[in-house]
Amino acid sequence: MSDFLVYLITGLGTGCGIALIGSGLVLIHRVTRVVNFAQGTFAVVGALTAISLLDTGLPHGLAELLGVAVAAVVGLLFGVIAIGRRGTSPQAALVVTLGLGILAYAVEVMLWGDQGRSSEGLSGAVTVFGARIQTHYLLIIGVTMAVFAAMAALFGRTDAGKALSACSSNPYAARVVGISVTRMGLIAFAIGGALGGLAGVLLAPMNSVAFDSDVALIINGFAAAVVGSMHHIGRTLAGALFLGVAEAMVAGYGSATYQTVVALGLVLALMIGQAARTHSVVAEAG
Amino acid sequence: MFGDLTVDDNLRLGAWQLSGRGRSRRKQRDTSWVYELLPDLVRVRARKAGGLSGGQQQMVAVGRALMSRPEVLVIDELSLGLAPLIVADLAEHLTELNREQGTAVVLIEQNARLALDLCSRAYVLEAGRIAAEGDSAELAASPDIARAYLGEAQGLPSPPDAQDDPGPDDPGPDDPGPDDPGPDDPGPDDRGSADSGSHDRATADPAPTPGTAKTARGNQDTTVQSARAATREAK
Repeated sequence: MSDFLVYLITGLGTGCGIALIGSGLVLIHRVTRVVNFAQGTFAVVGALTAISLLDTGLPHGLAELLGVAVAAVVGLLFGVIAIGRRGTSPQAALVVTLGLGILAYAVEVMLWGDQGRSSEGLSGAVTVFGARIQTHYLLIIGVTMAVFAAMAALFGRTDAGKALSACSSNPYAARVVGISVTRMGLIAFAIGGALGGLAGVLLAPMNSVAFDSDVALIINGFAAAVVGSMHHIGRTLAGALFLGVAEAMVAGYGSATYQTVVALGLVLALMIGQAARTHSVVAEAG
Repeated sequence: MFGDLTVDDNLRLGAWQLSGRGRSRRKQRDTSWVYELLPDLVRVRARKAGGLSGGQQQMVAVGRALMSRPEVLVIDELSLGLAPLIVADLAEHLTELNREQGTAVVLIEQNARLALDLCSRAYVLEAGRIAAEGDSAELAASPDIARAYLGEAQGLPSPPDAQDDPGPDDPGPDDPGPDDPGPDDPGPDDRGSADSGSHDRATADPAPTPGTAKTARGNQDTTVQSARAATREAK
């Protein structure tokens, strides 16, 4: 029972990190229709920046915050390059983000070397129902829930959030009412960068971060985003938590070798199910 | 029209460009006067616009355009794809808008009877040129116009309650409607049109003429079609 609880909480913690990556992907895709393959890069940049800042003696909190800010700036920069030029198709922008992600490898290796690095998270552990749980996982879960609540408020209550939704609903009509779709896209990239950076700094104490850590992050994040049909942030969160818990369970009760395989197999089944459903709807409409 | 957003949000976004602060901003975002003008929208204000009927979607588009406080409202093909009763209803709202708010309305319409009936001044376009212009009542009374566009009947008969519109009936809630070009539709860029916008196709028009233009957009086939429909109607 206590094992189960440990796996559950650690799974939820990992799932929250995945959710942050996935929701960044969804947010950028909603507004710009670009699948941003550099989303994992934001996490790596955020994490490595925070670790370096911690090494220089900056206190916890401030270093992480700056890491997130740097990731947001990188997100904005990638956005400018990918969609800044008018008339860039989402497909072209997708390839641009892929290229930028690879270019970022070179920069990251130059700046931080090619060895994995880790930071110190929240130390200590709490005992819940006889299960010892590292406090840092609870921090990850708490911060992520706060961020998702903030996003819900942004999209549900503010004009800026409505304008972002308007761009995703009908970019043409958005232009007609005077919403700059490109500017909204850049804002989406900046928020996506911040979300990625946050995932990075939160997960850095759990797994060491190297320049190529983005692959695992983007694969999981993308899987969660697909559960949300690249559109629904709430469903992305649910998908990410499911994925995180499933991986933790497989690693805990089975073997860690298979955790990604099993989790991604589940997502693949979900995708096929979704595609079949969409197809039947289209067939009926036709 | 933003199908994913509620009717209320659609209207509020119409005022996106108005840059007020504090109290004036709240006033700009106030949608109550649009609901007074288009009372049919009150019932559905919290519903998603994408699920509304074609006529309701058209009203949302008009209402959203009104939120930007335009001096001129350009409406392209008011009757396209809408049921006759709904067109009559919309037409009534537009007349009211013109009378009470003083907003000039430029209507581009192939239903000649509707256009001439609705507006004070009309222009007949044929193959991209203005073939006739003048007071709507005069144009409707002119024998040439009557023969070409309204059928052989003498002058303009008093309009029936429901227009015999050649367009198909209400497309139903699942149809995105004619005003919703797909997400990939590049369309013309309307970013420059600051003070107006309607129907997603409307553009600002510097012409201060309050009244209405009637045009077949240079396409004679359309004109002939609507003339034929009018002929049927007159018989």
